[in-house]
Amino acid sequence: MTDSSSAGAARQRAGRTLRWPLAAPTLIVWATLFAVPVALLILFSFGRIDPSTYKVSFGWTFSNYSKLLEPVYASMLVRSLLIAVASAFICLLVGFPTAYFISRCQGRLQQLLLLAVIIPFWVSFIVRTYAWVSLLRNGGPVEALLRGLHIGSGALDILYTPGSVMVGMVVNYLPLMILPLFVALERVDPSLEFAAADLGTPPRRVLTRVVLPLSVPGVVAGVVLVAIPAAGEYVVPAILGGGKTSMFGNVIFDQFTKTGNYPFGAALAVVFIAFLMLALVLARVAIGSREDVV
Amino acid sequence: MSEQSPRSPLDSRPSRRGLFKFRALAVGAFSVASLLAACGGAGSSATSTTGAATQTSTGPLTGEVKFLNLTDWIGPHTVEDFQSKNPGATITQIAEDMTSSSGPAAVVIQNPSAYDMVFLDASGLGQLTAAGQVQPYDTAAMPNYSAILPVFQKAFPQGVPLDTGQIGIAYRKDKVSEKIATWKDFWSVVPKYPGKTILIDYDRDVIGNALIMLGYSANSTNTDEINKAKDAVLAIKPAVQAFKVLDIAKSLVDGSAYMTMGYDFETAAAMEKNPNIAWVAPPEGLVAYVEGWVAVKGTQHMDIAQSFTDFQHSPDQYKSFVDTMGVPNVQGLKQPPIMDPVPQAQFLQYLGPEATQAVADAWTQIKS
Amino acid sequence: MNDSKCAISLREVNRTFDDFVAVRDLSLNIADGEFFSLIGPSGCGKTTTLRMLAGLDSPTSGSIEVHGKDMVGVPPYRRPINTVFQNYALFPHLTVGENVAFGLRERKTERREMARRVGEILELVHLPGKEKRRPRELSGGQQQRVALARALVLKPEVLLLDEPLGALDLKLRRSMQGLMKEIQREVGITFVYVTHDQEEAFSMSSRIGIMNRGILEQVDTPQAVYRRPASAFVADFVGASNHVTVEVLSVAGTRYRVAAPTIGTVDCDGVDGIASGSTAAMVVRPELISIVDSGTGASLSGTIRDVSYNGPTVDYLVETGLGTFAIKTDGQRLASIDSSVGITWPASACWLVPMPSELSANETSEEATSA
Repeated sequence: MTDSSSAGAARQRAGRTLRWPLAAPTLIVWATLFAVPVALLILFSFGRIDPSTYKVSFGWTFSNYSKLLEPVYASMLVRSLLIAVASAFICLLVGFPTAYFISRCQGRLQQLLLLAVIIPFWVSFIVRTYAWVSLLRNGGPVEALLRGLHIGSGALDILYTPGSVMVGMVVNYLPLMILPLFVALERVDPSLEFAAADLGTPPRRVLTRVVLPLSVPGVVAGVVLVAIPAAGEYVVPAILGGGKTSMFGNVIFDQFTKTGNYPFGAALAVVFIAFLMLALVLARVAIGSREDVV
Repeated sequence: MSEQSPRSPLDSRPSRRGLFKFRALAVGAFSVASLLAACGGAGSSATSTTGAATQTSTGPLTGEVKFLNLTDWIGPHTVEDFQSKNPGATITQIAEDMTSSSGPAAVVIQNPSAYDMVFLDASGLGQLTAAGQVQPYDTAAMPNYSAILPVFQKAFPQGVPLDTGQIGIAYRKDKVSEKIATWKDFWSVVPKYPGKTILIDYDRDVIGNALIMLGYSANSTNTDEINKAKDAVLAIKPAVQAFKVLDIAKSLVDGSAYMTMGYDFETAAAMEKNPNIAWVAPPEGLVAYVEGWVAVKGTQHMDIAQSFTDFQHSPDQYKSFVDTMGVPNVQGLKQPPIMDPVPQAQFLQYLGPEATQAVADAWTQIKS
Repeated sequence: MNDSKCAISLREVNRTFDDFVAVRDLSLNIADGEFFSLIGPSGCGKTTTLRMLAGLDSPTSGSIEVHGKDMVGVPPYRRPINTVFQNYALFPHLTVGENVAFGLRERKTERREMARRVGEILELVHLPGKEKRRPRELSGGQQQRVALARALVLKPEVLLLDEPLGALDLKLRRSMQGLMKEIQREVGITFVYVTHDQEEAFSMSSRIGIMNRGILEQVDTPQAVYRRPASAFVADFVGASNHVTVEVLSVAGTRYRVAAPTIGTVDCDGVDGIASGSTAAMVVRPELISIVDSGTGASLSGTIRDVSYNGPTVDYLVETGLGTFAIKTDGQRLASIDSSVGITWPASACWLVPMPSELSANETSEEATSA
C-alpha cells in the first residue's frame, strides 16, 4: 500500500518535471514563429524610415498610426471589413443548406460529399482563383450558362466586377464555412427535429426554432474562419476584381514589397491584427453565452 | 497552343513584368526571414568590399550568386550553360515581384546582404544608387558590353541594361469609332466605352503617361503635377475594366477590351493575331523604360556576377533571350518596327525620395 | 367497437423496408381515453407502428385514422397527436418553461394564457416552479416529466409514449409508472404506450397488444393476455411459462381433451381452432404448479436442478421426463437441490395454444426475456 502510493507520487513528480520539457518544442516554435515576429512587427510600427536609404530608425513615433487615419486607408479598412462580413454572410447562406444536407446523409455518401468539399483545398489558392478568370470571362462557361438560362444576353462582362470578386471569395472560403457547420449540425440530435415537428412545427420553422439555434457554435466558427482570412484577402480582388479595388491586405503587401516602407506596413498590420483579435474575442463571447448548448 | 503560328510564339512566354505576380507569395516566407535577418545581421553588411573589383582574376569561379530576378526573365538556357562552363559557380534566382517601380530596389536596400544581383529598371537603379547600394560593373573587363548600344549604356549607368520597351496606346479600330492619336484623345474616348479599357497595373507607367497627357514630364518630381496626374487617372477610373499585368493584349484580341495602355511588344504580337488592333505612339511622348542587371554593394562574388552578366550578352545567349521574350533589345538586333523606341519616348528615371513617395501615395489612392 | 368512438383505427397496415417486413397486416382499434400498451421484443415492429402514428413514417399500405380522420400523408405537425420520446428530446437551448411552451407558441397562444398553462401542467407532473431551469440541470426522471408536460400541454387527442422510462432505474420507473397512470386518469387523453417491459405494461394499461416479428399476435386486457395467451410466444413474453407438447384427442368449442406421455389425459381450455389429432402446446404458469412428494398424486416426478430464493417467493427448476419446468412457490415448503420431487397442477391451470411454427417455444422465450 505504502509502496504503491509512493510509486504513484513519484510518477506524479516525474509527470510534473516532464511537463515543461515535453511542452518545450511547441513553446519554442510558438515563440520563434509567432511571438517574436509579432513583437518585431510592433517594434517596427513605431519606427521611422529614411526615404532615400530605406534604413529604419527605431523610436517611439506615432506618425505611422496617424497616417492611418487618412481617409484613403480608413476607407480601405472599412471596405475590407465589409467585404469580409459580406463573404461570410454569403458563405453562410450557401454553406448552411449544404452542411445540413451532408449532416443528414449516411455513411459512404456522407464521406464522399465531405471529400468533395475538401478537395478544392488540394489545389493552390492562386491557381483556383485564376481558373475563375477563365470561367467568368466573356465567352466563358459561366456566361454561356447564364445565357442558356436566359438570365442575360450578349457579353455579360461579369469578370472584374464586385460580383466576380464575391464569387471568388465565396468559392475559395466556402469549405471553411461548411466544415464547422457540418460538425455542429451533425451534433444536433435528429430526434429534436422530430420532437419539434411532433409539437406542431412546420419544417421551415423547425429550422429556425431548433436547428439554427443549436448550430450557433458552428455558425460562429464558420463566420470567424471565413471572415478573418477574407478581411486580409488581396489575391482575389487583384485577380478577379481587375486590381481596381485595393483591400487592406493589398496596402500592407505593397508597403513591404513595393514602397519598402516597413514601419508603415507594420503599423497597418498591427491595426489589422488588433481588429481581427477584437472580432475573435467577440466571437468567443458569442459562443460562450451558448456554452450550455455545446 | 497548337493553332499558334510559329512566327508568334509570344503568347507562351512570360510578359514583361514578372508576371506571375503571385509567385512572389512563395517568396513571402523569404521576406519574413529577411526581416529577421535585417535585425540580427546588421553587422554583416558592413563587411568591406574594397577588393571586389580586383577579383576579376583568371582563377576558376567559385561561390553562389543570389539573383533577385523576374521569374524566367533570362535566356532560356543561360544559367544552365553558365554553370556548366563554370562548375564552381552557382546562380540562385529569387523571384521578384516587380509591380511597382520602387519595389525591388526597396527590397534590396532593406536587406542588401541577402542579394548579390538584382534586376531593376533605370528608376530602380537610380534609387539603389542614391542609397549607395550599387556595386559598379567593371565594364572594361566585359568583352560583350560593347555590343550594347551607347544610348542604353548611358541610360543605365553602373549596371548592364538587358531590354527596353515603351508604353503606348493599343485599341480596336473596329470597335472604337473615334480616332485616337494622342493621350488627350485616349483620355476623352475611354469614358465613352465604360468597362472596355485596361490599364497597366504599374504605377510609373500609368502616372507617367498621365503626366505627359497634362503636358508635364513623365519624370516630374513636382508633387502638384503628380497629384494632377493622379486626378486625371481617377477621372477615367470608373470606365476602366481592370488594372492588369498579364494578358493585356489578349483582352484586345478576344474583344473583352477595346482600349489599353499597353506594352509595345505585347501589342505587336497581338496585332499579328487580329489586324483590327492599332498601335499609337502619341507624338507628345510616351513612357519608356530600360532595365537590366545591377550588382549589389557588398557582394562577395563580383567576379561571378560580372562574368555571368557578360555571358548573358554573348551573341548566342542574348539572341536566344530576345527571340524567346520578343522584346525590344539593347543591342540593336533586328526587330519589328514598332519595337524601336520612338524619339519622343521618355525614359523613366529615379525621382528622389519625396517624389517617389508621392507617386506611391498617388498610386495607393488610384488603386483604392 | 364503434368507429366513431375510436381514438385510433389501424386497418391492414403494412410497412416494408426493401425485403424486410417491419409491420404486417396490422389492424387495431384503440378506444377514446384508453391506456393502451404495445409490447414486444426489440425489432417486433412496435416502434415502427408508433412512428407511423406520429407521422414520422408512413405505411406501405393500409389506413390509419384518428377519430375517423385519415392520417396517411398528413405531416406530423398537422396531426392531433403528440409524442414523448425515449431520450426525452428536450431542446437543450431552451429553458424548461420554453420547452413546455414550444408547441403553444406554434399555436400563437396569448402570452398570459401560455404562462398559466405551462405552470398548470408543470404542477400536474410535479415540477412546479421549474420554468427557468435548463433541461440538463434536471435529473432523468424530471426531464422525462418535462417531456410529458411538453406533449400534454397541447391537449392532444392521442399521446404516444415511446419507451419513455427506458433510461430510468428500476425504482424511479415504478414511481413514474404510478405518476403516468394518475396523469392519464386525470387528463383522460388516449395513451399509446410502447415498451418491451411487460410488467410495466401490465401495471398501467387497460389493454395490451403484443407484437412479434411485425405481427400483432394478441390484443386484450392484461388479465386475459396472461391467462389466455393466443400463442406460445405471447405466453412466454408475458411472464415465464412451461410448455408440454400434447396430442389433441378431441375438441368441443374451446374445450380440448389432450394427452401427453406420463401425464396421461387432461381436459383443458385453449385457443379456438386447434384441430383434433394435431400436436399442440399446453401452457402451465409456474406459480400454478405445486411441488409434492414424489409418487403420491404427482403428475410428474423429477429432480430439482436449481433453487433461487426471492424473499416472498422461491423459484425452482425441476428436470422431468417432459423437459425442465420452472416453478414459482410461496416458499412455505423448501426443497433442496438434487432432491427428487413430484410436481402437479390442476387441470384448470392448463391452457392450450397451437404449436409454435418455426422457432421452438423455448428459443423465442429466451429471446423475449433477454430483449
